[in-house]
Amino acid sequence: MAAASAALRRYLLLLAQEHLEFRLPEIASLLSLCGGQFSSQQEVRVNSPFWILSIPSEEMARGLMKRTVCAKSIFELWGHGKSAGELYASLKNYPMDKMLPYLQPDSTYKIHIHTFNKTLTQAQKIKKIDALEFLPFNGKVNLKNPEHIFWILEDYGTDPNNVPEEPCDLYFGRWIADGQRELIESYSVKKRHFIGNTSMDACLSFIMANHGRVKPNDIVYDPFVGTGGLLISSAHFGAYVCGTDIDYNTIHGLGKASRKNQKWRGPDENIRANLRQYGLEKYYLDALVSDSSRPIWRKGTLFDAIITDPPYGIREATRRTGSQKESVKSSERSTENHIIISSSYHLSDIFFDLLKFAAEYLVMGGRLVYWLPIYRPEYTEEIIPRHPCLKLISNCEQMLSSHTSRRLITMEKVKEFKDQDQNSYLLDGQYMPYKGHNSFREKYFSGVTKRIAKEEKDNQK
Amino acid sequence: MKLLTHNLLTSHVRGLQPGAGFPFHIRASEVRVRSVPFNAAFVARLLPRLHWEALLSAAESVTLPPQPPPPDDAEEEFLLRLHHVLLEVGGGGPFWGERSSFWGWEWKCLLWGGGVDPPVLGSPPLLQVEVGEGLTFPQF
Repeated sequence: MAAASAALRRYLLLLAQEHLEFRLPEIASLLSLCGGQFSSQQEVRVNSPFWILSIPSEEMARGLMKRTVCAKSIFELWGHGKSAGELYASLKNYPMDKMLPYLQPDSTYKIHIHTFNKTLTQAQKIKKIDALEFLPFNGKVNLKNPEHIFWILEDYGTDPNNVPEEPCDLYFGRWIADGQRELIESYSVKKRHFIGNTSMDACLSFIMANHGRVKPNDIVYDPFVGTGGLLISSAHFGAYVCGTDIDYNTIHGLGKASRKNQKWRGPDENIRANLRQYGLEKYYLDALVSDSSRPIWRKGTLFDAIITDPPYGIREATRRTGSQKESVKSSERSTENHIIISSSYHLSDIFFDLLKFAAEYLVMGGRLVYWLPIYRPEYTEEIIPRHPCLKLISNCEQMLSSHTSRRLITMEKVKEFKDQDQNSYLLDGQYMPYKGHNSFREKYFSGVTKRIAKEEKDNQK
Repeated sequence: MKLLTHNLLTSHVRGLQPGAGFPFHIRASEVRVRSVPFNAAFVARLLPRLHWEALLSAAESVTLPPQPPPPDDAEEEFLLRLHHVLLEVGGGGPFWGERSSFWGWEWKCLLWGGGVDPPVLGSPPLLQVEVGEGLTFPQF
């Protein structure tokens, strides 16, 4: 055990302070994707922007940063302390032979100061840099294009109303790599060619691809594909993507536009064009009109990951194709005038169909990542749908309103699907709690209408 | 729709005879060929997921009959052909069509791209061949 931990080196991870709950599953998933693992020995304070990770190699640290959208940068940690004195003592203990390669006389460097929850003046910063004189910096300072960048990072806690005089944690390290935060801007939905009413925020869709451990040459499938926003992030990471949706107009890019000031969708508003916008068209497989309650895929393991955002019936309707009987009425249906009869699709059924589908069609170790809407006052962990072939990996909450939220559920296929597993959820008596998902729409709107009524009443006073 | 997708799709109609919903019948009135960058590693990963007979008959029904490969056919050459058939040949636009019979959906292809060589797909190699990352061709 001691030998194993001695082989690991300590790295400091600087994280962005948003989507806090989603960060740990992202980093853990990415570490396992890079061949490492997230052990209980990691010194992680979940709500802090500073995590110390023990990782076997710098290469793995770089691999992690090529994917993460939750973390900003990673550093080789040279020293850490609760006070300046402790930091300096820790730096003096850091083996000189590990420092020297980066402090050579013919190299260039700069020192950067990063503070969290406090802003320092230039004079204060210079003073802190000068205090590091005892380190043998032999290279030349170059502020524009240095070979090596060293960071002093100071943590003044997370309470903006109670900022301490001195930092509670100080770190010093060598910068290694930045994460992929710039993707959030470059893939922003605002600039996207084709969007729908519920297009996923770029950051969250990258987080979903990371929770799903999407990797190059995977096949990623979205059964509620909509405008394909979730596929874009997977394609960015080199996976081939396909999707289905029951909405004929969305797949074909017809009908009313979701953008303000634009009435109808343009002739080239489709999923392929969305991928083309980002230079990812080569990863497009197909987008089909299909009903997720009736699988159209040949039996066998076909997909490496299923990443999706099922409709909750709030901003997009929940529908599935109607019964044979109903469709007979529309016998005038033809290819020119394509009408799919759809009937309402209960939320609990949507999630059951989804889990069953994932259990059957994912490769072993493949992941299902989806959003589950929650009425918060009634939430318990029991209402998360389960399947004997799928293991729950993570469950992260994003608030929607005071009484509703959605949870990003990640599950991994751990057992081969057999036909008897098909309806096994009915046997273990867990079915009843899920029925509660059906009334999510009513609860959502009951809360909203109550609030509006209350606000109106308050205004009248 | 690409022939890869065609190879993975089956009819969603319930109550069909076993095997009757697959593969979809292709009536190739028009076919579109769209160039896609070749990625040998991806095509090799697709191999175990393919239904080979269905692919051969699909390739046949949209193009010329398959020709036997030259005897010294290299692995790369095979994957390149497979890439072409799976990812570059297809009908334009998304899945559309009507249910013409109890056998499933009719698959229609659009626009035969002018001046493009029709795909030629050889028999799969009979021996196990190592492909990248330790993947092997399945025996068909």
